[in-house]
Amino acid sequence: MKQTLHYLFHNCEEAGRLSLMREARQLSLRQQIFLHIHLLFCRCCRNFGIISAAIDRNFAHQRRQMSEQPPLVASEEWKNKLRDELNQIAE
Amino acid sequence: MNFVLDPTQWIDRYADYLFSYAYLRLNHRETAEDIVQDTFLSAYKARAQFKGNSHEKTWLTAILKHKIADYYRQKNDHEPIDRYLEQTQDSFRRRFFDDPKHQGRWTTRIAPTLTEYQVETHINSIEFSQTLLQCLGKMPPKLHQIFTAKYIDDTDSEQICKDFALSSSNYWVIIHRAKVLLRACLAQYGFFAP
Repeated sequence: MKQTLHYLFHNCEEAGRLSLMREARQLSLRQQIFLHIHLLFCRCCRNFGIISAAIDRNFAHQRRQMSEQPPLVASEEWKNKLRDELNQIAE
Repeated sequence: MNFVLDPTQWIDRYADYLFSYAYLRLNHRETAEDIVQDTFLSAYKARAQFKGNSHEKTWLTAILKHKIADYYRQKNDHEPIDRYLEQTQDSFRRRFFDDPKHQGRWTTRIAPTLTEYQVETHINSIEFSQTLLQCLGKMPPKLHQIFTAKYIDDTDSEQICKDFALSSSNYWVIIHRAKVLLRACLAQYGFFAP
């Protein structure tokens, strides 16, 4: 009993993993119950879920923007080198 | 619609995009530069094969994608992922799930605390985006490759397990660890910090 309670309340690693898994597939009944109860009592894990969702949303945002506004800028020096090489083989 | 190639404009139009594409997946500046360079040169040499049924940007990206896949194939990283996960498990737990009173709970000093307001104000800001990418760059290579397949390439989970010969349980361990590391890194930069 003590062990079960310890597992239920003090296994934040498992809870985090399951809450990620839940986005992609159906959890077993046992997993659902564990996660539900754990989240009810664990503020840290609820917060982790919020941050995790924020990260997901930002990545989705960045994927949409990627093509129009690439997040990184290549160095001018490298681009100039590339221009030279392309010109060279074009001649 | 018939698309045409205009190699004289390639660098101006696509160098930043292709570099970003490569760098986010390879996490190494010189390697990304070399592979993009190689992409432009091969594309130029193969320009006669361009059929005009896709935009030149799509065509260049497809070539780059192949080159990145080739690079990973040749890299021959044979350390099995399960061994890596086993070896790093203890240090991961000690760092993140080692509350002195209740072992297994979040180590208090990095416990995430935040308000909905903080989330909404940060979520699509440039600072947050840039910091997230910076933190992504600090991820251990084993995790980085799987994580970017999911969050940068937007590949679905089953396909990633197939591509990397991963068991589903290891896959979720990897995604979870990667997320925990990202969160900790964001907190170091002041995002969602306690």
